[in-house]
Amino acid sequence: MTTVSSTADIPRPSAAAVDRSCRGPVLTLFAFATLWLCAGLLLNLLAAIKFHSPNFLAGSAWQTYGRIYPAGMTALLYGFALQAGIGVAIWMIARLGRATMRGPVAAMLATLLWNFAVFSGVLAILGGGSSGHELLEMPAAPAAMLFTAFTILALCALATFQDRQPGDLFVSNWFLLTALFWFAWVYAAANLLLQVFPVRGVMQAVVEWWHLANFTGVTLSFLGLATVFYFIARLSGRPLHSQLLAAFVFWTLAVMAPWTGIAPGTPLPAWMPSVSTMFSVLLVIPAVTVALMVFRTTRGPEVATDGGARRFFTFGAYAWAAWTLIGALIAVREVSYLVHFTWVVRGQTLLFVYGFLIMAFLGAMALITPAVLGGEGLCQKMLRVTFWLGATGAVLGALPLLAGGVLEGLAHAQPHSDFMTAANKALMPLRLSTLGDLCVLLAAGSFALNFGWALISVLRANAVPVMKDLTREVTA
Amino acid sequence: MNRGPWIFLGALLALGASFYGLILRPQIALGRMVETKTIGEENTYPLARPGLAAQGEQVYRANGCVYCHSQQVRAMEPDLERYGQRRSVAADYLFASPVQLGRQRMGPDLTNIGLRHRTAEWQLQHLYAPRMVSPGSTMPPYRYLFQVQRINGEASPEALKLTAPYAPQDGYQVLPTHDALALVAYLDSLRVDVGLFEAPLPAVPTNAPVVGTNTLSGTATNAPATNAPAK
Repeated sequence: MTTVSSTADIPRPSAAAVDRSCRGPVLTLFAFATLWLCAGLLLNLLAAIKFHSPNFLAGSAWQTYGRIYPAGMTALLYGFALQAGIGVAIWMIARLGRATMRGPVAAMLATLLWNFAVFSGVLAILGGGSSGHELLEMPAAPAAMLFTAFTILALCALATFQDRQPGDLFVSNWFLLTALFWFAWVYAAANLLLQVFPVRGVMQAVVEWWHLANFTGVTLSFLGLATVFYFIARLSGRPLHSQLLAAFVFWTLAVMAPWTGIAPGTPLPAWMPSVSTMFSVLLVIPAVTVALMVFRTTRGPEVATDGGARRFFTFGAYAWAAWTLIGALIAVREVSYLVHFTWVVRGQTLLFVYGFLIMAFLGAMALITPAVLGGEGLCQKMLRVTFWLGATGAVLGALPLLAGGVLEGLAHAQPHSDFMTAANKALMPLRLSTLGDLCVLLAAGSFALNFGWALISVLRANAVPVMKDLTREVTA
Repeated sequence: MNRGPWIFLGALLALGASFYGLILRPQIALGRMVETKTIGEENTYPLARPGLAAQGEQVYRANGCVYCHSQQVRAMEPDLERYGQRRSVAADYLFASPVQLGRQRMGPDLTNIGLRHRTAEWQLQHLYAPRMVSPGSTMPPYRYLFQVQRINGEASPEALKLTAPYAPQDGYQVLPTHDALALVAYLDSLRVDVGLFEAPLPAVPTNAPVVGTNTLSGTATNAPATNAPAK
């Protein structure tokens, strides 16, 4: 490409200059993401409590489980995970390419639009305006705003990428840019086919599941895996083991993950769940590869300067691998007939959201924030608390549900069994899992305090220089 | 070497393939599906929901019933025994809007709730106070679909009959709102009781000679083409 030759002779900006160029947008994205994380987890906890005491907060329409639960998931995935992921992506693209960020003001405005979209989407869901399709509950107007904001942010990332230093692409960059491209296509297509020109009959379910598989299995997975790969290599003080395996994971996921997500036994032509099962099972290959890569890369001691941040990423990577392996297992027809529709589904989701997304992005936010803020960084002791609360919460949240779901499924499979007797097999695991929800909420709270404190102390120390810096960026 | 364009092209093909395979191609077959004829009576199937039930479908959507209740019966023994006479097929959802198959069963499947001999009275009581009619239920009460009103003169015939801890205080009555009535009408409309070419109803053991078709001979056989769906 021509840009390579034209930028080759320009002296590259220093790492500190690159960090400074991302400050406004990245910190705005992170701050809002942290708020949404707390809000989403709180809604999630309220939803979980309702299973123990259905009368809890049953007074008005917006507090009902069927509204609070999707509102919480929307806040967690669109408010937190995707927003934090985009922040991390922008910073990584700038740092890997040694290029100052392009369009910081546009990106900040887009971030505001993004959060307005998520906010109005969550309010609409609580108000009964959900579209009725899982993880696409936001009505058409907030979805359109979200898409617009996303496009602006993605274009800023792309423009920054165009300014990169010459040389080979880093594999993390493949993951990040593909995730952005993927989201744009899948989100637009799914919303158009479900809300603007709705398809008929079961095709709605197919579009919903296709979006779900791509959003979680590709977009969010790619953003999270790029983060994990980048930081475990950096914190281990050695290159990733290996670039080739990372490329292998990239292609196997990109080709296979989009076909997964249709469970056996669904009222569709039989080839559709069959193909889906086949690809879900084949995803064992990238899952094992990622676990192997992380294991090989992190064998040495952690580079001392960052004191214990690496475990966020190793935990996240193993949780991702476990999520994929369980997905492969429950896609098998016999297993699916037993555990589909049980708590296993939710346990698997928690592994992905709590174990992978929250851990990987909290770790990345903890490391990127001091770099772009130019301050002392986050309190390491508090960060350790965040990690252990989050890790405990993820394990405690997911494992009991997986076990309880299997018990429930086995009970349902008994001939002439009573529904309620079978469903109640999961009650005790459900109580344990709610403790996990609480732990993750506390982890998010501790991170929010830590992050907020770092932000405030730097602002207090350098209020004037930072303001000058920001205005210079605006006028530049 | 700059591999960027190749990677982009590869990703484009990977996503394009799944979009073509799972969305575009099936849309041509499934998306253009029209009503078919039932086995036996040759009635048109499915029929659109009547007005109140169609409104109830939106109450069902707005309150997220789908997060706990599925609407699909799989071709397996426990499902068939508990939830329906035959497996669900694509034709059953032709007029559902939105289609809400669901991914969890924290409550029972509702594909055939309209066939389970529940009266409207029972459904309303269950929505207002699930544990009154179904002890131990984990379903939240939907009190906001009802109004508690002071009785002026005579009690309304529509008032819910409620027992001890759930009954309102003396001189008051609980009346269903329009949304509650619509939701119950929708639940009543959820019934799959006709056999289709691709999903016949199971044979009922009987001494009577089999008349007309042999598609009633069981779910496991491949039905002959005599009752092929309309083109």
